[in-house]
Amino acid sequence: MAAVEITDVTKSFGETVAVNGLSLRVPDGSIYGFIGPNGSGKTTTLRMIMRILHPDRGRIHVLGEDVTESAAASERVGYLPEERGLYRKMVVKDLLRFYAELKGLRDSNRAIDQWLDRLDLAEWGDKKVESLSKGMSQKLQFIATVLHKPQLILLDEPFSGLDPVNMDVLRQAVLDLRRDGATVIFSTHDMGVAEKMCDFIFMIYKGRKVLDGTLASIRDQYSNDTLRVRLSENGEVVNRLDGVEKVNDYGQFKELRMTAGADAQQILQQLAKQCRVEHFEITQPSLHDVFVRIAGPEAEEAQHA
Amino acid sequence: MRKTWVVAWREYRVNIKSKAFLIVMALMPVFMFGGIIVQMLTEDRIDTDTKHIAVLDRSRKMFVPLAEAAAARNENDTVDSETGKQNRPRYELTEVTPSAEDTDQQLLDLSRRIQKKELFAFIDVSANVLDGDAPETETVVRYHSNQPTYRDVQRWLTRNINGRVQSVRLAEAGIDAELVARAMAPVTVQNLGLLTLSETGEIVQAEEVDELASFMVPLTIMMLMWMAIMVTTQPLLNGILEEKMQRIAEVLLGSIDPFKLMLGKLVGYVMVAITLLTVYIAGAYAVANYMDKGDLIPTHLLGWFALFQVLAIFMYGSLFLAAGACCNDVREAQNLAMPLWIPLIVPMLCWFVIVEHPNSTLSTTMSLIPLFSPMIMMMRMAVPPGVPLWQPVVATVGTLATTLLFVWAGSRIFRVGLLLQGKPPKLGQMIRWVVRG
Repeated sequence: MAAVEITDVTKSFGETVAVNGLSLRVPDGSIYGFIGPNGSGKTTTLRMIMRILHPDRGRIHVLGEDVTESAAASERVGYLPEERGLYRKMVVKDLLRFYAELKGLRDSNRAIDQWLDRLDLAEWGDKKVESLSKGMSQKLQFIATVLHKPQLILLDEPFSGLDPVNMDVLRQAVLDLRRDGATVIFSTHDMGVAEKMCDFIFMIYKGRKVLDGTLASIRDQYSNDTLRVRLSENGEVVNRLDGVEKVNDYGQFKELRMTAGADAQQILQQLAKQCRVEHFEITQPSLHDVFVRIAGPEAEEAQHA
Repeated sequence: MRKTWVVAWREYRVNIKSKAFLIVMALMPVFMFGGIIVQMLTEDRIDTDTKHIAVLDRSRKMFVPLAEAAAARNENDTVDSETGKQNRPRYELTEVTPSAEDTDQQLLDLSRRIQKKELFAFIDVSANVLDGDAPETETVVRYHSNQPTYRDVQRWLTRNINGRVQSVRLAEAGIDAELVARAMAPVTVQNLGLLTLSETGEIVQAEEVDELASFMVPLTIMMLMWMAIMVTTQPLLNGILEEKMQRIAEVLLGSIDPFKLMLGKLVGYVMVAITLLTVYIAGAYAVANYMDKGDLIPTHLLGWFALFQVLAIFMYGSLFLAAGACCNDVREAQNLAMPLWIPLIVPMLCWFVIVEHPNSTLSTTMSLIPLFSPMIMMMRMAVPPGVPLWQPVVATVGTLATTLLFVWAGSRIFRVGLLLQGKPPKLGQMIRWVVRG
């Protein structure tokens, strides 16, 4: 069964088409990553799944219910919006109880204590929300999202702005929820997180779906056209190589994208003549590179040409 | 419906703990008992300083009788007969001989004495003051003081000068002053209500009408309603702005649909208003009973009052919510909400006309316009003899229909506006949202 099934959905705001003919199937129990540049339609898609916005055209089924017709699924879904929404003047526990009750959970005290404890916020339960730091507010918002044990969890940029310790805590919490049977959809700009956590990755660009599938299947679309090298000197050598069309310099490593039909061995020979090669690897492009190839300035130019 | 209640309960709890609400609550005794307290505090502190008055008597016939009248007043009317304490100022009159040379200089000197507080006032009595045939310019008495609002002295002088003038003129004409006084004795016309039949079949005498009370009761009722609306609409506007600016709206809309959310907020604020009014009305009862005026409170109107009050909060509240949902900061919201104050201010501006002529065409028409109905109809009903029953019924139906329309239209603006960032929409755009959803 699919937790979310989007069929040919279009949504416009005035002249702007935010989502254009989108179809997507999110299998039950999976972790699905939504990637795409700012303003490409990620949040609009999430809001339509949440029933906050109605599509102009097309159907959306969530947990088997048609959300354009009924709100029946809303209590089984949890949503963490991109920008945190908390009443600053409320006491933490009161706020959590309020959000839980809005999701139909009447007795939430035990769950609240457990979650506060688990995310290291136990001593803040009786404080006002405004006294929490940014990271703590984010964890609080996460608790508000999952308190009612939703079957489907939508997280819009859940990890942005978190320090590594808190990020690990939240990531573990997400994985545990999935292990307990929940389906998780999250959007992120962190390609590393998407690569490591997601079973499936979906990329939306200018309102249209451009990638959808497992990480392996996406990378397979791009052949082994990437070289990852480490050189003894940081010279300009790599820029003058034949058969290389683009260089991404990460400092320690450089990623070279070969032109179609170029021979990796020839490139290695060219490099070896000019400097010491400490590392040389023929690989598929990283998700980051795939993203940039689709949505970077290069792609923009190609489109306008 | 449960979610609507969850929202309402949160709004209620947050608001009865808010500073604004507590201040209004704290002001209740000030409004209600303020008059009594001020009266009690000032009772013993009235002005008893002797008033020195110079009399520049050009007629040579006025000072003596005035001085005698002042002496009699000082003797009889300045002391509380029970306690023996002085409760009014004494008047001390001194005669000033008119200067033969420079009249203006003399008047200026007297004015300076007033500024130095040696005198309270002086009067300049014309030479022909007793001559009934002389033109007004020759008989006039000029009263000079630097305290134009303190009118007791001027009134006392007017009364006594005229009394003296009349008795002299009557005597000169050979008419008996006593006879005239008897002939001219005024008759009182009492303002009474209607006689009623008691349950035991006896006729109950009509009571005297308290004119002040018959104006104050409708005004107080309108002010109570107005206050409850003010206390609820402003926080409604601020609350929705907070939810929009802090992006709480998105979380809420993920759990509850906008119509129910809006309804919940309105219900919450109706509960706030009811809490507030219960305290105020109880206070009013206490004060009225303390002053032995308990029967002034129109208890038979309590049901209508509650109905119109609830409708008013729903009607105005939904407009303010819709306006708030379209804005991104308090300033924008206040600009957009400006026209919404008009229906709230109009009843305040014309309350007097309406209470004075409650059944005029203007009053009746205004009270049937749904935007004004709650306050104006309520006010008309509080003025005896009241209005025909069909009028409040029509007003209720009209207000209810308008309220439903506003809540429905408001919730459609609310849903689009809440997620919208950037410039607030124009009115035309909002109407399009209502029509298209």
